[in-house]
Amino acid sequence: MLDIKNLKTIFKVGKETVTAVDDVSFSVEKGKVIGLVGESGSGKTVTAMSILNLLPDNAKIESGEILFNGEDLLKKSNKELQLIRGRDVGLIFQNPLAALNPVFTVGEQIQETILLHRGISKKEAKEEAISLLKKVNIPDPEVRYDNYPHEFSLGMCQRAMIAMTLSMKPKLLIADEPTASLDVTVQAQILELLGELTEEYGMSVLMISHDLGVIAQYCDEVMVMYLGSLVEKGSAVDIFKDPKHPYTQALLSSIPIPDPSKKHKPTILQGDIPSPLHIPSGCRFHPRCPQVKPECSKVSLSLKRVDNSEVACVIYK
Amino acid sequence: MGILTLEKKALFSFLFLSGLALLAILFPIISSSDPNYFDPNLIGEPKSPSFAHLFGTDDLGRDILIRCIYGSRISLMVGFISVGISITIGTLVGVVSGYAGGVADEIIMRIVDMFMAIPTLFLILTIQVMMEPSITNVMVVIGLTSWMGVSRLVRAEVLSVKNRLFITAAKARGISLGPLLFKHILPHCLNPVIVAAMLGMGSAILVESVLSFLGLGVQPPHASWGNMLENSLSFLRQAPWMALIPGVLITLTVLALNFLGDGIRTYFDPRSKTSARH
Repeated sequence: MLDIKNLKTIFKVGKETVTAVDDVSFSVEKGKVIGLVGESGSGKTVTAMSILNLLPDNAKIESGEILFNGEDLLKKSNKELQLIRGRDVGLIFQNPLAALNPVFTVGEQIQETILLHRGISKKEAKEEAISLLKKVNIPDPEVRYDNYPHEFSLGMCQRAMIAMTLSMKPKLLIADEPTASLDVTVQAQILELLGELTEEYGMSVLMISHDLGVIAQYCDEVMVMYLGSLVEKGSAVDIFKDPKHPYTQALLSSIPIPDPSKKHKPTILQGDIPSPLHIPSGCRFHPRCPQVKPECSKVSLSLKRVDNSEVACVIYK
Repeated sequence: MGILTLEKKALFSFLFLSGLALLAILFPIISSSDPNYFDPNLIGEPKSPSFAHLFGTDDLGRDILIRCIYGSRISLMVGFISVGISITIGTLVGVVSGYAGGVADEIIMRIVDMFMAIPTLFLILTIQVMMEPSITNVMVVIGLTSWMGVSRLVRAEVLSVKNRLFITAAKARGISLGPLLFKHILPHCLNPVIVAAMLGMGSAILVESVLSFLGLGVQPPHASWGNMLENSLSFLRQAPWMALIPGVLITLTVLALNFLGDGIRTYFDPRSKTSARH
């Protein structure tokens, strides 16, 4: 249903050009939940924003195709995209409080969204909004309808965002770190809610997160991103049981285990993620890779099938 | 709450201006006094303030209090309408320029700079001399030449608001350009506009007074603070109250508008003590 082919998104920073997303290809099938994992600055959000062309002014999609149900979104006019945004593809964000307009009540914003995409009366839209608030487990939805976003807790804001997105019954939901700003219990509630609702509505989901726990719990397939390109792709089971790429291995070993009797030593990567202004030659990961080989700085890599996953690494030949 | 948390001088200004506005609006309804009525016995002999005429009478035996009230109608109308025009244009230009960004923004802002170089007063003087002097001209010209400040303020706000997440979220929901600009972005840009409107009203009233004083604004026998001042010139020794009263009114009104604008600015400023959000 969503097919991204060789997506390349660049940013203009002063006179320099930063390639934030380089040659990324993947597809999201109907009813599937795909996870996109990576450190901060690896290009996850830029990938997501590229899909609906919601990039900042200084960013540009340089090449590639974004096929949604066979139509290239990059060839669409702004007007046509407006119809797709919201109605076909929903988006929820990391910081739900900042994603709601502080000068309108939560209810008004949901109502506005419903009115935008469906020809029903204001009163019906309000009733629908209240029933959606109820659906996402907001207590006293009639009262809460008239609350402003700052009167909501973060978790409730995220629920409201989900209600708003669901009001249009999108076919694809892009969730950009939907639980990153919430504490763990609320995070679990939101994930459960998302899980139930995606099943009920039959939505596909592109879930972006740096939290591997979230990804493991929720996703069918996982893609690992490093410095703007994909390094590994496979089913969630394969990635977590048998990570192939050294970067994926390092990521997984860095998950803390909440059990004091099981002390394990994480593979700590040397240095920081390099600046996208100076992307290392060859394999982007080679300056920090614990299993680096001499040829790593020379060869350019693409994803290759290894067992059940796809990996971009010279170790597998 | 709102207005009560303003600083003291802003609060007094607000009360003064409300009183003035109420009087200007209601007086002609509740009283049948004619501002042009003159006492034939008093022509040429201005009388100082007394119980019969609280502010005294002028050289034609007209009651200065009543003329001042009618004059305040003109002043406030000039203030409201010209600021209305300038705010409308300024906001539109600012929103478009700020949201468009890039080259379009650059071009629009250079045009704004060009407009800023026009000296308002002299433009109005020229127009009033060439055409029949009318208060409509004054209001329109003040409006058309004073929107640049507002447009810059709005543009600056739009530049910062348009990159906030809730705007991206609104776009992601498929909200189209018009509602996005005027429903979602604009309300966040209005605080400085309200302040600018207050200050703008003060200067518009001043410009009207200057014009009427020069005989190019409101034409006698209609009363305006400016032409009352002009009228008083030849009687300055004999009847100083004729100049003093409209002069003080102009000063107080402009001062009050400035204080109120300043007070509202402080109220919206998160760093100040009397701010709305501490």
